[in-house]
Amino acid sequence: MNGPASSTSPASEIGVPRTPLAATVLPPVVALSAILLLWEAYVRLRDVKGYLLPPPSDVFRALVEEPGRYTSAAATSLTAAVGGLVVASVIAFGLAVLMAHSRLLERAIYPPALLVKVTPIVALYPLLAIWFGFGIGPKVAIAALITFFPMLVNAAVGLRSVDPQALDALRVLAASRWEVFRRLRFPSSLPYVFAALRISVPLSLVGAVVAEFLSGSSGMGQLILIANGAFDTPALFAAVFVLAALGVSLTGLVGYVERRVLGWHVSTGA
Amino acid sequence: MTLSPIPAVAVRGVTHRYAGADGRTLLALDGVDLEVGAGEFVSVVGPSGCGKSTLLRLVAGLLPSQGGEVSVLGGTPGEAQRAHALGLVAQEPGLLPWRDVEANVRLPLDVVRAGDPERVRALLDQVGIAEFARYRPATLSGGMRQRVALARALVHRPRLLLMDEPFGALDELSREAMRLELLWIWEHERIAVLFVTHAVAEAVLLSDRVVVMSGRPGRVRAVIDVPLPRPRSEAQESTPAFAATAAAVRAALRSGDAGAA
Repeated sequence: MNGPASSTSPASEIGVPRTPLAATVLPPVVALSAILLLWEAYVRLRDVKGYLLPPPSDVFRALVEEPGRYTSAAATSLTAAVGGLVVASVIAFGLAVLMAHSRLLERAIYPPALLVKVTPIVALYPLLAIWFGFGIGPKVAIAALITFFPMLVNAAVGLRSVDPQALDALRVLAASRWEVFRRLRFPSSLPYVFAALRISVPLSLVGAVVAEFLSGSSGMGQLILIANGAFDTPALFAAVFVLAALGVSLTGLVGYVERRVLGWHVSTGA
Repeated sequence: MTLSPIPAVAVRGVTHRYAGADGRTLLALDGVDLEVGAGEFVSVVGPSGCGKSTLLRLVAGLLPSQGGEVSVLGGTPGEAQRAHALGLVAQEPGLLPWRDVEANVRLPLDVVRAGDPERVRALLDQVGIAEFARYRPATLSGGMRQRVALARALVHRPRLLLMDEPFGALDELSREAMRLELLWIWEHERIAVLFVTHAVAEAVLLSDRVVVMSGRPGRVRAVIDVPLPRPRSEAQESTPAFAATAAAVRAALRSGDAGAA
């Protein structure tokens, strides 16, 4: 058995040698550690006030002293963000299917969708609060509205981006629309769908946190507001770190699923 | 066995126009006649833009008929599609990159939910790609991909194979190898083939008859019988009969040029 650093990844189907794990993980880890060390040294040497810029060690202490405070808030925000992402993705993909099959529907759907995109979603919050109350409802709605457009546009383009020769091969068999969809259009759209998800995942977290700022309902946004009010800057930083970790994890999860599903696609070969 | 007088393709007086960007229309086909008998191999030769691909797409039912009569296996192109009687090979293979070679060849059987799965393996053997059955198309050469496309076009046992410059994107060695493979398959399958190309020697070597078209508007200039015996082989390319037929086809093509100039 090999050591963990040189774990043998299964040879990819195209036979391209994978970059060793150490070469992909080590540089960012070293860079991040260096930033934290410099930060720590700067704060201690220049004796910067803790409420202005706490040293990373204080932020770390804030995290480990009350881990439950962060994990429960993170779970709340994550639920709203992922909920909004899922709702938006399902609706957007459904509309994209309609758009891909009819230029008329595309012309009908696209302008209102664009209107949603160019409207500052935050401005809709009071309305959403009236409609969905003050719990998770408006948070899901904000996250959904922010992530809706990238999925709609990418899925619509992806569903149309079929190889014309492959389409002809199906058409001479009198393949039904459903057959063409499941054999050709849907798989062809997946690289675009995953590209949309990589854009939408961080946006969904933005949506959830902004909604929590506006409503004061529980979650990472509320935690930040409370820490801010108490001049508890280490807790504020801790919350930001947790959000960053959430964004990285979700994006990593999307990337992982993408590599599993899209082994055939060129963009995943590198 | 009943004698089948029904031709594989019967095209009479077909005219086809494309709408140009400037609002004018382009006459792609003008009064074209074409007949492919059951089990016959017919090539259509002509310069680029002579409408030969348009003609093939009309027969395939991929373009709606505008004028004239297009009969395929005794019915409309749409009926031939629904009877799963058509196979199509285009210049680009049009394979599904997420399916391996075997699954790509199986695609028509998956779509029509019929046919013999054993035939997938048999065809992979026939076109010489059995050892690549588990490979994805991206890992194959252009010639290999086109072999996969040919096997896919035959797997559901069509009665008419439509080929639109199928070897046009291949290197010379692959072209020559695939011509012979196609001949071998055609001898065994005994299906009608409509073969569009701009390569005169290719058309003569493969065909029973060569239809020569002229461009803009696309018209049939000549139909030339190929008197070479079957089965064909590359050796026949150096016979006087081959040279005479190829010369006749080239002369017919040139007379088109003179008419246009």
